[in-house]
Amino acid sequence: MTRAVPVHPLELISAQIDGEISPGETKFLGAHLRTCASCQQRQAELRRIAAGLDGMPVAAPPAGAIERLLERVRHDCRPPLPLPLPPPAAPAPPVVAEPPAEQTAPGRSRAILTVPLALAAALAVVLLVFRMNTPVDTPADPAAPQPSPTVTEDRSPAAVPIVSPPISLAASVAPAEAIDPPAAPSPRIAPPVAPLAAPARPDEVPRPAAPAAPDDTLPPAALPAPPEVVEAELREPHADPVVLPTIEFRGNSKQLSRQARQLVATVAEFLRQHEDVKLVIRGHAEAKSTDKSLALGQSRALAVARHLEDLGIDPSRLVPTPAGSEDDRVDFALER
Amino acid sequence: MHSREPGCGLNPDNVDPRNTSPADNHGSPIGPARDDRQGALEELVRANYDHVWRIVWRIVRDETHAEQVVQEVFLAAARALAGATPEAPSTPSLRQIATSRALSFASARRGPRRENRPEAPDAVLLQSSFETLERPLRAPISLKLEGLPYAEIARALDLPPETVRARLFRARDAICRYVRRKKSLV
Repeated sequence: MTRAVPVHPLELISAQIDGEISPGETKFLGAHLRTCASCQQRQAELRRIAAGLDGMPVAAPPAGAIERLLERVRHDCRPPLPLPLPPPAAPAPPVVAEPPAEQTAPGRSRAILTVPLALAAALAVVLLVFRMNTPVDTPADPAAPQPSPTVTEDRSPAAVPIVSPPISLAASVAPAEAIDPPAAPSPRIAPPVAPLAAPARPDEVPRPAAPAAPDDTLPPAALPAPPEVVEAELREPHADPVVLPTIEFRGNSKQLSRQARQLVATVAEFLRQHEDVKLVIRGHAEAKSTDKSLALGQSRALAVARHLEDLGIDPSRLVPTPAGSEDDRVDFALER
Repeated sequence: MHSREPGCGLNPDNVDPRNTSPADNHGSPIGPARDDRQGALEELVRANYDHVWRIVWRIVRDETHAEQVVQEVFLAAARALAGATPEAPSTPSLRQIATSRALSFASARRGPRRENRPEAPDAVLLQSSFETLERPLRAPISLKLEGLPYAEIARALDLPPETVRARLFRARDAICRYVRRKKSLV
């Protein structure tokens, strides 16, 4: 590791402990230590602390933790995000509701670039698209048949985002009751959608991970509750639908464009107005491998999260996560 | 010493220098067939659980909460696995998600628990000193304790290696100061 900026000798000592010090730095440090009693003392101290940290015990996972996770994965891992597995013929836009002619999946990137910023910002601020597909029919048995007979991937509605179509006029005027799960390959396939009145009491909305007992023992403020709980609570009769914008990225970039920053600012404004929700920031990235896609998706989500932090949003309300490999964008979902 | 088990061998030849980390699948993703995702996912969980657990626990410092965070990490990986690219995320990617989720969670707890135990022995002092570390310092030291080189830590945290090095120093220095302060109170 080389750099032009001079480094504090103590930092070199720390790097030396890790074996991450260049020959030049070793020489410099050696020369310095010969003349500096204080640094010699600190060297001994840092080494002692490093060794102590190294031997510090780590708590073992609670008994059965892996099994609980696997159980949850078995029930829950059907892709809950709107990862499009578009049928070859007709790729579905993220929100399907009699899409206007100009709204096609390949045009999403272009759409966001062509909508005037002011309009985009205005549309971005408000609009909560209700999700009606409460997972009342989540199968208890992993071997049980999936609700969607012909869909290759069952879209568990558990974590389908409340919002996040690309920002466009078309998406924002879509009537809520016409929204299908974004990934449903074709409108002819009935998605597992429950009617609006199905969850009679919001607090009784079924959770997708019934077997994962610890869920129920944890404080809701600290842990992301299943999104549908929030949906249920936000689903007040008078609530205006809200659309959070989609942040588009170019190529392999994780940089926020000026336009993207403005869109993120609208999200910050939304969060300031709704202090009880958390924002799941989902970074998508097209890449050759899942790994690269995850890494870039995570970086993009982090870039957006950091900008939101810069805008004064409490980082504890932000949950950046990689989300999928089908597009170059960051979109959002809300959680309690 | 740590209760560590090696990964269950997705790539047993490739272990970290301290032989404590699970398989790194850089060049050899598991690559399950699309219809065998469930099996690949279970293998991924079993191979990496302990590694992810340790990273998360060091940051979160609470078993119940750490279990929840680790679940979220693997569920995020599961979603990726169920995406268009039928290959499992590798250990480095899991680390990235793990640190991000754990930090996000830790910050939600509104500050570390500070314990006032001036008489405590060094080991306990170290434990409590960890909880006083600032958030940006906890993640690199947590990954370092997994035996990862700076380059890997930098990758997991999306930081330049120089920053990782500086933060590791700051973390150790902060712990030194904490221990010194507590001892002086005895």
